[in-house]
Amino acid sequence: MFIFGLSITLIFALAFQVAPMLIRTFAPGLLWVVILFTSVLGLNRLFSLEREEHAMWSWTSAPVDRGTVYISKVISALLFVLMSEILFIVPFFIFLNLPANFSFFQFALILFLGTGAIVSVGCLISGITLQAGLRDVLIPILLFPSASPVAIAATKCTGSLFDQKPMTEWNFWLLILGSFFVIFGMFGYLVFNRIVEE
Amino acid sequence: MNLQVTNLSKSFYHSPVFQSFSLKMESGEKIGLSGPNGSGKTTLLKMISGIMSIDSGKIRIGENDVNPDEPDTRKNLYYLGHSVGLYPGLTGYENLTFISGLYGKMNPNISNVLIKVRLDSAHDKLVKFYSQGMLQRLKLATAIILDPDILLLDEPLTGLDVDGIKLFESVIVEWNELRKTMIIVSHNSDWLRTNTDRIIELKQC
Repeated sequence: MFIFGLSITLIFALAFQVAPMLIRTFAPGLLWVVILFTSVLGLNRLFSLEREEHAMWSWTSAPVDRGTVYISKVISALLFVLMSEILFIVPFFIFLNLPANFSFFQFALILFLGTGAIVSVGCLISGITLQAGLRDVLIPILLFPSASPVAIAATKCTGSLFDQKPMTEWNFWLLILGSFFVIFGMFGYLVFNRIVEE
Repeated sequence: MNLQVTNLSKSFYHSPVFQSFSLKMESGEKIGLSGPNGSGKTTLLKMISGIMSIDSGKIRIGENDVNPDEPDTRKNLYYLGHSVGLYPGLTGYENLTFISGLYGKMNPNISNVLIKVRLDSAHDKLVKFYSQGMLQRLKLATAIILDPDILLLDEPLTGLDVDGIKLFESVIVEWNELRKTMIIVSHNSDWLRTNTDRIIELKQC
């Protein structure tokens, strides 16, 4: 995921040879495109172990709450995507020549909530497509429209942060990210039980 | 433990596999399930085990109805499927530890069970390198460790050599003495006739 994110960052850096002020306007959107694409890579692999040799039968027939499997998948995917983000965000700022004069805590909060929202939607889609044949194709097709409100809200938050606007001006978008994360997380937990049934 | 299936219906893409199917099994009973391909033998076991949803009807184990939202209703049964159903990237020992943990078995005697099914020499081998017969033995080991009251055995003899079949038959005798309820799917009618109390022949809808 890190290599993939780094590759897209490099492509963007080479493709957008524009004025520094202009790239600063595009940068939040570009950053979330990289994060979304990188997440798809992780989400495609999320249930690959369970698909091999019907390994999922070991826990679908066991006396365990299947919703906890969804929660554990969200947590592991979130950790992996966040780790790869940490690794490619530094080159992203270096290659695109972006100034880092903003609150790192607020940036970390946006990354956490935005990635969490993408991953909670993505894990649900990954679970829905668990038995599907064209799974690798279906995940991005279903994820991109579903996660577009997240991408929009995350881009708005990041853009406002880069422009050093006070948090009170963009906390509405942050709430949307948080709501997506919590609502889809809870919804996934509740419906996963039925989703994994054949 | 009793098992009761009442008016079970299941369709795939509007093509019915079961229509108002009912079955009643007393504790300690052994049923053989046979029938042509596509008659629903595996589907029935998957529905009882909770792997597959049902369209309508009721499955009752002991005093409880099987309900996907209540995991505890699945604790007294084990489905030995004809697919592997184990993590290929883990060793046999690790798979057994993982599954016994799921069933709340805190200190399972995995090493002894592996010796019993003669897989002790392969306990640290990845499951993806197991032969078909070794996989069946490992699944048998899982069933022995979990020690459920109801066993759903789907083609349990597939891939087993003569020794493996003898081992499996001896385990079935032990389970029978412990009054475990068993449904065994097999295409071998002679074997079913010898080793089960009664045979149910499923026909395509």
